[in-house]
Amino acid sequence: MEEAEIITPWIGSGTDGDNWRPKLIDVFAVNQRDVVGRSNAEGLPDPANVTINVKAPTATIDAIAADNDYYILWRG
Amino acid sequence: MSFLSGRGLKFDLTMLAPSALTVVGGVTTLVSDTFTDSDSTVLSAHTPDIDTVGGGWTAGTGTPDIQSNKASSPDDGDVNADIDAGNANVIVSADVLIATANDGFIGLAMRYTSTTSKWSLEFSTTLLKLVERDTTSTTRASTAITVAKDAEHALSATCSGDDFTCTINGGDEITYTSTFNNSVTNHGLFGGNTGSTWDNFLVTTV
Repeated sequence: MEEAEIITPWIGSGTDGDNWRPKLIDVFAVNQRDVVGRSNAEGLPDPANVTINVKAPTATIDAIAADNDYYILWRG
Repeated sequence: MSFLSGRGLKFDLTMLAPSALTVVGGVTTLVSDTFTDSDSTVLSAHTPDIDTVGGGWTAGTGTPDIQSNKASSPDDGDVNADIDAGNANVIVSADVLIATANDGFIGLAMRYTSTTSKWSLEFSTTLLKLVERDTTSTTRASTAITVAKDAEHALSATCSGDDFTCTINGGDEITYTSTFNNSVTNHGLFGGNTGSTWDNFLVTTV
Protein backbone atom coordinates (compact mmCIF):
# COMPACT_ATOMS: atom_id res chain seq x y z
CA MET A 1 0.00 0.00 0.00
CA GLU A 2 1.32 3.42 -0.96
CA GLU A 3 0.23 6.99 -0.17
CA ALA A 4 0.22 9.85 -2.68
CA GLU A 5 -1.18 13.33 -3.27
CA ILE A 6 -2.69 13.64 -6.70
CA ILE A 7 -4.31 16.39 -8.76
CA THR A 8 -7.45 15.11 -10.51
CA PRO A 9 -10.24 16.81 -12.50
CA TRP A 10 -13.68 17.12 -10.89
CA ILE A 11 -16.54 15.21 -12.48
CA GLY A 12 -20.31 15.27 -11.80
CA SER A 13 -23.03 17.91 -11.54
CA GLY A 14 -23.34 18.54 -7.80
CA THR A 15 -26.66 16.74 -7.25
CA ASP A 16 -27.34 14.01 -4.67
CA GLY A 17 -27.29 11.40 -7.42
CA ASP A 18 -24.29 12.82 -9.29
CA ASN A 19 -22.00 14.46 -6.68
CA TRP A 20 -19.04 16.60 -7.58
CA ARG A 21 -16.29 14.03 -7.13
CA PRO A 22 -12.68 13.45 -8.12
CA LYS A 23 -12.71 11.86 -11.59
CA LEU A 24 -10.00 9.48 -10.39
CA ILE A 25 -12.43 7.53 -8.16
CA ASP A 26 -14.57 6.63 -11.16
CA VAL A 27 -11.53 5.01 -12.81
CA PHE A 28 -9.30 3.60 -10.05
CA ALA A 29 -10.08 1.60 -6.87
CA VAL A 30 -8.52 3.76 -4.14
CA ASN A 31 -9.07 5.16 -0.64
CA GLN A 32 -9.01 8.96 -0.86
CA ARG A 33 -9.94 12.25 0.76
CA ASP A 34 -10.14 15.81 -0.52
CA VAL A 35 -7.23 17.82 0.97
CA VAL A 36 -8.47 21.20 -0.37
CA GLY A 37 -12.04 21.37 0.95
CA ARG A 38 -13.12 24.09 -1.45
CA SER A 39 -16.76 24.96 -0.74
CA ASN A 40 -19.70 25.75 -2.96
CA ALA A 41 -19.53 29.36 -1.73
CA GLU A 42 -15.89 29.52 -2.84
CA GLY A 43 -16.85 28.54 -6.38
CA LEU A 44 -16.53 24.77 -6.40
CA PRO A 45 -15.96 23.09 -8.88
CA ASP A 46 -13.78 25.97 -10.15
CA PRO A 47 -10.87 25.55 -10.51
CA ALA A 48 -11.56 22.41 -12.46
CA ASN A 49 -9.14 20.25 -10.48
CA VAL A 50 -8.85 19.09 -6.88
CA THR A 51 -5.96 17.64 -4.88
CA ILE A 52 -6.66 14.38 -3.06
CA ASN A 53 -4.72 12.20 -0.65
CA VAL A 54 -4.77 8.64 -1.96
CA LYS A 55 -3.93 5.27 -0.44
CA ALA A 56 -3.70 2.41 -2.93
CA PRO A 57 -1.50 -0.50 -3.98
CA THR A 58 1.75 0.51 -5.72
CA ALA A 59 0.51 -0.96 -9.00
CA THR A 60 -2.54 1.33 -8.86
CA ILE A 61 -0.39 4.41 -8.17
CA ASP A 62 1.83 3.36 -11.11
CA ALA A 63 -1.25 3.17 -13.35
CA ILE A 64 -2.44 6.59 -12.19
CA ALA A 65 1.05 8.00 -12.91
CA ALA A 66 0.81 6.67 -16.44
CA ASP A 67 -2.55 8.40 -17.06
CA ASN A 68 -2.26 11.98 -18.30
CA ASP A 69 -5.58 12.96 -16.69
CA TYR A 70 -3.83 12.99 -13.27
CA TYR A 71 -0.70 14.54 -11.81
CA ILE A 72 1.09 13.04 -8.82
CA LEU A 73 2.53 15.70 -6.49
CA TRP A 74 4.30 13.15 -4.30
CA ARG A 75 4.15 9.47 -3.48
CA GLY A 76 5.80 7.22 -0.97
CA MET B 1 -37.44 1.33 44.03
CA SER B 2 -35.28 3.77 46.00
CA PHE B 3 -31.87 3.71 47.61
CA LEU B 4 -29.68 5.88 49.79
CA SER B 5 -26.37 7.27 48.63
CA GLY B 6 -23.31 7.26 50.86
CA ARG B 7 -24.17 10.80 51.91
CA GLY B 8 -27.71 9.93 52.89
CA LEU B 9 -29.40 11.31 49.75
CA LYS B 10 -32.46 9.32 48.71
CA PHE B 11 -32.83 8.41 45.05
CA ASP B 12 -36.14 7.19 43.67
CA LEU B 13 -35.67 5.21 40.44
CA THR B 14 -39.40 5.37 39.69
CA MET B 15 -38.82 9.03 38.87
CA LEU B 16 -37.00 7.98 35.69
CA ALA B 17 -39.34 7.92 32.71
CA PRO B 18 -39.22 4.89 30.38
CA SER B 19 -37.62 7.08 27.70
CA ALA B 20 -34.82 8.24 30.01
CA LEU B 21 -31.26 8.16 28.71
CA THR B 22 -29.70 4.72 28.37
CA VAL B 23 -26.09 4.81 29.50
CA VAL B 24 -23.81 1.84 28.83
CA GLY B 25 -20.11 2.04 29.63
CA GLY B 26 -20.11 5.84 29.57
CA VAL B 27 -21.80 5.95 26.13
CA THR B 28 -25.31 7.40 26.10
CA THR B 29 -27.92 6.18 23.63
CA LEU B 30 -29.70 9.22 22.25
CA VAL B 31 -31.84 7.55 19.57
CA SER B 32 -32.57 3.88 18.97
CA ASP B 33 -35.00 2.44 16.46
CA THR B 34 -35.60 -1.18 15.45
CA PHE B 35 -38.50 0.01 13.27
CA THR B 36 -40.93 -2.39 14.88
CA ASP B 37 -44.33 -1.34 13.59
CA SER B 38 -47.11 -2.29 11.20
CA ASP B 39 -46.26 -2.57 7.51
CA SER B 40 -46.77 0.64 5.52
CA THR B 41 -46.48 2.89 8.59
CA VAL B 42 -44.76 6.00 7.30
CA LEU B 43 -41.67 6.91 9.29
CA SER B 44 -43.07 10.27 10.36
CA ALA B 45 -45.95 8.44 12.10
CA HIS B 46 -43.68 5.88 13.80
CA THR B 47 -42.36 6.20 17.37
CA PRO B 48 -38.68 5.23 17.84
CA ASP B 49 -37.70 2.88 20.71
CA ILE B 50 -35.59 5.65 22.27
CA ASP B 51 -36.00 9.31 21.31
CA THR B 52 -34.45 11.44 24.04
CA VAL B 53 -35.41 14.78 22.48
CA GLY B 54 -38.86 13.43 21.62
CA GLY B 55 -39.44 15.06 18.26
CA GLY B 56 -39.75 11.83 16.26
CA TRP B 57 -38.88 11.33 12.62
CA THR B 58 -39.29 13.95 9.89
CA ALA B 59 -39.25 12.97 6.23
CA GLY B 60 -37.75 15.74 4.11
CA THR B 61 -38.10 13.94 0.80
CA GLY B 62 -39.33 10.55 -0.29
CA THR B 63 -41.85 8.59 1.75
CA PRO B 64 -39.90 6.02 3.72
CA ASP B 65 -42.16 3.56 5.45
CA ILE B 66 -41.87 0.38 7.48
CA GLN B 67 -41.94 -3.03 5.84
CA SER B 68 -41.24 -6.24 7.83
CA ASN B 69 -40.00 -4.18 10.80
CA LYS B 70 -37.39 -2.27 8.79
CA ALA B 71 -37.42 1.23 7.33
CA SER B 72 -37.74 0.93 3.58
CA SER B 73 -36.65 2.97 0.58
CA PRO B 74 -39.69 2.82 -1.69
CA ASP B 75 -37.90 3.68 -4.93
CA ASP B 76 -34.69 5.20 -6.27
CA GLY B 77 -35.79 8.75 -5.37
CA ASP B 78 -33.70 10.16 -2.55
CA VAL B 79 -34.98 9.58 0.98
CA ASN B 80 -34.11 12.22 3.56
CA ALA B 81 -35.42 11.36 7.03
CA ASP B 82 -34.02 12.94 10.18
CA ILE B 83 -34.46 12.98 13.93
CA ASP B 84 -33.07 15.37 16.52
CA ALA B 85 -30.63 13.55 18.83
CA GLY B 86 -29.75 16.67 20.81
CA ASN B 87 -26.02 16.22 20.23
CA ALA B 88 -23.71 16.91 17.26
CA ASN B 89 -20.87 14.72 18.54
CA VAL B 90 -22.25 11.26 17.96
CA ILE B 91 -21.84 7.83 16.43
CA VAL B 92 -24.63 7.22 13.91
CA SER B 93 -25.04 3.61 12.82
CA ALA B 94 -27.50 1.20 11.20
CA ASP B 95 -27.68 -2.14 9.45
CA VAL B 96 -28.38 -1.23 5.83
CA LEU B 97 -29.44 -3.63 3.11
CA ILE B 98 -28.65 -2.60 -0.46
CA ALA B 99 -31.13 -4.25 -2.79
CA THR B 100 -30.08 -3.14 -6.25
CA ALA B 101 -26.51 -3.17 -7.55
CA ASN B 102 -26.72 -0.51 -10.27
CA ASP B 103 -29.20 1.86 -8.62
CA GLY B 104 -28.63 4.79 -6.27
CA PHE B 105 -26.50 4.96 -3.14
CA ILE B 106 -27.99 4.26 0.29
CA GLY B 107 -26.84 5.19 3.79
CA LEU B 108 -27.01 7.58 6.74
CA ALA B 109 -27.42 11.31 7.21
CA MET B 110 -25.37 13.21 9.76
CA ARG B 111 -25.57 16.81 10.98
CA TYR B 112 -28.69 17.33 8.87
CA THR B 113 -30.25 20.79 8.59
CA SER B 114 -32.22 20.30 5.37
CA THR B 115 -32.16 18.28 2.16
CA THR B 116 -29.55 20.72 0.84
CA SER B 117 -27.46 21.10 4.03
CA LYS B 118 -26.14 17.86 5.52
CA TRP B 119 -23.50 15.16 5.55
CA SER B 120 -24.19 11.64 4.32
CA LEU B 121 -22.36 8.33 4.44
CA GLU B 122 -23.44 6.32 1.43
CA PHE B 123 -22.51 3.08 -0.25
CA SER B 124 -23.09 1.05 -3.38
CA THR B 125 -21.78 -2.46 -3.94
CA THR B 126 -18.43 -0.97 -5.04
CA LEU B 127 -17.93 2.39 -3.23
CA LEU B 128 -18.26 3.85 0.29
CA LYS B 129 -18.31 7.65 0.31
CA LEU B 130 -18.73 10.62 2.66
CA VAL B 131 -20.69 13.39 0.96
CA GLU B 132 -21.04 17.04 1.98
CA ARG B 133 -24.26 18.69 0.80
CA ASP B 134 -23.72 22.45 1.08
CA THR B 135 -26.15 23.61 -1.62
CA THR B 136 -24.39 21.26 -4.05
CA SER B 137 -23.18 17.73 -3.23
CA THR B 138 -19.48 16.87 -3.09
CA THR B 139 -17.79 13.55 -2.36
CA ARG B 140 -15.17 14.49 0.25
CA ALA B 141 -13.76 11.04 0.98
CA SER B 142 -14.30 7.56 -0.39
CA THR B 143 -12.93 4.05 -0.65
CA ALA B 144 -13.43 1.25 -3.11
CA ILE B 145 -15.29 -1.69 -1.56
CA THR B 146 -16.83 -4.98 -2.60
CA VAL B 147 -20.04 -5.83 -0.75
CA ALA B 148 -22.93 -8.11 -1.63
CA LYS B 149 -26.36 -6.82 -2.54
CA ASP B 150 -29.42 -8.28 -0.78
CA ALA B 151 -27.40 -8.38 2.45
CA GLU B 152 -27.28 -6.08 5.48
CA HIS B 153 -24.10 -4.15 6.08
CA ALA B 154 -23.15 -2.36 9.32
CA LEU B 155 -22.67 1.32 8.51
CA SER B 156 -21.11 3.65 11.10
CA ALA B 157 -20.23 7.34 11.10
CA THR B 158 -18.39 8.86 14.06
CA CYS B 159 -18.79 12.64 14.14
CA SER B 160 -16.49 14.18 16.75
CA GLY B 161 -15.80 17.90 16.62
CA ASP B 162 -14.62 18.57 13.06
CA ASP B 163 -13.58 14.95 12.45
CA PHE B 164 -15.46 12.17 10.66
CA THR B 165 -14.46 8.50 10.84
CA CYS B 166 -16.66 6.19 8.81
CA THR B 167 -16.69 2.42 8.31
CA ILE B 168 -18.67 -0.37 6.73
CA ASN B 169 -18.78 -3.74 8.48
CA GLY B 170 -16.14 -2.41 10.87
CA GLY B 171 -13.51 -1.78 8.17
CA ASP B 172 -12.77 0.13 4.95
CA GLU B 173 -12.32 3.27 7.04
CA ILE B 174 -12.58 6.73 5.50
CA THR B 175 -11.80 9.97 7.34
CA TYR B 176 -12.35 13.64 6.74
CA THR B 177 -12.15 16.93 8.66
CA SER B 178 -14.53 19.87 8.22
CA THR B 179 -16.26 22.56 10.26
CA PHE B 180 -19.40 22.45 8.08
CA ASN B 181 -22.58 21.91 10.17
CA ASN B 182 -20.42 20.84 13.14
CA SER B 183 -23.02 21.91 15.73
CA VAL B 184 -26.09 20.42 14.03
CA THR B 185 -27.82 17.77 16.15
CA ASN B 186 -30.13 16.08 13.63
CA HIS B 187 -29.13 12.78 12.03
CA GLY B 188 -30.97 10.08 10.10
CA LEU B 189 -31.44 8.08 6.92
CA PHE B 190 -30.42 9.05 3.42
CA GLY B 191 -30.36 7.55 -0.04
CA GLY B 192 -32.36 6.08 -2.85
CA ASN B 193 -31.99 2.45 -3.82
CA THR B 194 -35.18 0.59 -4.68
CA GLY B 195 -36.14 -1.98 -2.05
CA SER B 196 -33.25 -1.14 0.28
CA THR B 197 -33.84 -1.14 4.05
CA TRP B 198 -32.46 0.25 7.31
CA ASP B 199 -32.59 -1.57 10.64
CA ASN B 200 -31.20 -1.07 14.17
CA PHE B 201 -30.70 2.68 13.71
CA LEU B 202 -28.67 4.02 16.62
CA VAL B 203 -27.29 7.39 17.69
CA THR B 204 -25.00 7.40 20.71
CA THR B 205 -22.62 9.88 22.23
CA VAL B 206 -19.01 9.51 21.14
